[in-house]
Amino acid sequence: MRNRIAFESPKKQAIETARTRLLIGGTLMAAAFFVVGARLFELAVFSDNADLRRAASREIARPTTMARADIIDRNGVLLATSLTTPSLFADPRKIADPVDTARRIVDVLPDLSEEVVAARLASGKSFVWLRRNLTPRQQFEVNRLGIPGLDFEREERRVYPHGRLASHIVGFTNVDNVGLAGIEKSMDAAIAGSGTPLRLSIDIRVQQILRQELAGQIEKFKAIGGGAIVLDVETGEIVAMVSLPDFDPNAAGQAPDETRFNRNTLGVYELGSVFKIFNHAIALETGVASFSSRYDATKPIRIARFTISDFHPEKRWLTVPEIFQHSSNIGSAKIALDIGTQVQRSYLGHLGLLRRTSVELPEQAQPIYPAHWREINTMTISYGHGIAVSPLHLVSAVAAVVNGGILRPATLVERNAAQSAGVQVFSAVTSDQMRRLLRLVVETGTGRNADAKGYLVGGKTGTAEKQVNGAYKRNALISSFVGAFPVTAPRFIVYAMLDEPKGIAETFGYATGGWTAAPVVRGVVARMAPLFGIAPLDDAPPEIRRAINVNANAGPAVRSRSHATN
Amino acid sequence: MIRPTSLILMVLTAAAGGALFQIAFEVSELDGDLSQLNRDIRKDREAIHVLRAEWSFLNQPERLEELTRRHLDLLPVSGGQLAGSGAVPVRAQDQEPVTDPLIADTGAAAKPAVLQDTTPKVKPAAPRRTARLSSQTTNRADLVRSFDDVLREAIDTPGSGGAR
Repeated sequence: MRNRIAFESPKKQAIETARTRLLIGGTLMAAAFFVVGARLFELAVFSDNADLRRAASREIARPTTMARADIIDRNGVLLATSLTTPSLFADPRKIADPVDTARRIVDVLPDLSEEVVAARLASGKSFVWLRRNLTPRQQFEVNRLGIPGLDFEREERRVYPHGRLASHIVGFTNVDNVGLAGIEKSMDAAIAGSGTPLRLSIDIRVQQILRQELAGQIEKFKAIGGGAIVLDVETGEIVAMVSLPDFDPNAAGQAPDETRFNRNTLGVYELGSVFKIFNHAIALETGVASFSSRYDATKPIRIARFTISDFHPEKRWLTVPEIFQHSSNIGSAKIALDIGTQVQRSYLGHLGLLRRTSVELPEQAQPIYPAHWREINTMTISYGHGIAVSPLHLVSAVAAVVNGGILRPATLVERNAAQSAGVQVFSAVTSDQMRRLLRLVVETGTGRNADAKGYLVGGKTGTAEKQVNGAYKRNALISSFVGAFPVTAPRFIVYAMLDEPKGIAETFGYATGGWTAAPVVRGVVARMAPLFGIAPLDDAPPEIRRAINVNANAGPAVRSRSHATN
Repeated sequence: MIRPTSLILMVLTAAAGGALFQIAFEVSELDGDLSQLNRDIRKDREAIHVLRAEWSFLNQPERLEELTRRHLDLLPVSGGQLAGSGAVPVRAQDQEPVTDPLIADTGAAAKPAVLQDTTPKVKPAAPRRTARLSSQTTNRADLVRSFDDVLREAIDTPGSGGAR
């Protein structure tokens, strides 16, 4: 070894080393080229387009998603939406002349103070807010000034284009876009999470009709407020729901508390004679009474310290249809005694009148009813006193009476007939009989003011004195009317209620349901029926008469002289 | 001393480098175009969003009703103005069976109503329906507010507006 080294010159040894190093470098380079070549080959030959797809999907116009989804009505009309609003800020270091700039800004945003703006612009900071949340037009005007150093930051705001029209249904949010009332609160998670518009069951056109008709009667009778509902009897969908007075959800913070009160769901009232619908339906369903049964209504009932009397006493024996037609409290109480406390209570429970409704609103009330259901309660509840429910409770239960006996939970979210499973409460026969009785009230009884010509309205009036501090107030009434149309095959329930209407000369001083609320129903039916393609019918032909007449042997249907029985 | 092979390689390398830079610049230019387009699309979509809200605002039923009252001689259809085709009398010489199944059906089955028509078909010029319209609780001024005003109101609620 040593010898060999001795023979080789140092020069040759250096060349040797260089060659070895070159070989290593060359090998590495070759390997690298091989890898690149193999990758090229793979891309060219075995490519599965995954990379192409990735390239194509890169940042191609993603849809703008808002923090909260839109709310739309059943026809797609926008009820609530989120808009990005620009907020104006400035970089004072780029502002050459703060005083002149401030003057020009205040020219287009007159609500700002020139001194404050000038002081901020002269502050020498790198960021100052000038004005939060501009409208598009204000932003345009600021942009038109062309001042360098001004810029906008985007923020989201909830906007309700229809304002107060659906205020109690849609509700509103706070400045942090958290729902505080109505659908905005109850479905907050769904609205904030999904990005797809939430479609409600209401129809903004019917909503407008309902609000206008109700507002007209409230003004006419100087009522302190009112509520009205239109419900689809086949699906339980609420097509329109108005509570007056209402508020503008675009400025909900400034609205007085009483305007935010939803009388239809949060208010519970003793609704009076409209409850006779249930009393009669239970009696017919259980077979306690038939159309030909007769009850003695000659004199008031005295029980304990109460006296049950009729508003306009007939002072004679009445048949079951006549009790309904003349809205006799005495007759109803006697029917209720025959029904019995237990049966009455259980049927009212089946009709959902003893628990909260399942409607998608946070503003809901628990009905008020006696803890110990005595005989006297049974009698007063038969004509709607001693039990307080919300108007929505009543409307859902009346829908069950007229639609063939099936109770479907009321909803504010669009639903089709297949989705609305119901519970059979009454038989189809009872339902048919009740529809005839309801028509009788409108044709010859207390509800004649609800008769929208051609649309066969059937319904029942209700007038109840309000309880104030445990005592009934004579002149403070809850006057209501609940109607179904067309009564031969009902499609909608229309309900109207006025809170403390005052009698006027035109109604001979009366402020009962037949005078105040029934005209609302007439107006709404006449105006909404064409929207839903419901053709007017003549009520004279014999086949229609057969469908709505009360059995002839029920005694003579006496034409009531007064509109204003209870 | 440069051999011809080396020369060719150097030229090729320079060409490849040049082409690479060219492509890189093109890509970054296209990238810029793309993000500009995306910005434009977003801006347009936001504008559409605002316009949809404004469209809904302008279509408030109450506003439409007021505009209709002011500019058109139209009233809502009343029940008395509707009748089925079966209610239309057949001309004397056409007494033969009606061949159109549609007309025959409605005529036989439904017997639609011909109701007393109390509403005039053409609105008389003088008595406008001011009674109903004036009896609303909504402020008339609501109708002449612009969408801009509504937005301003919506975003000026206490606690939300003003500089921070």
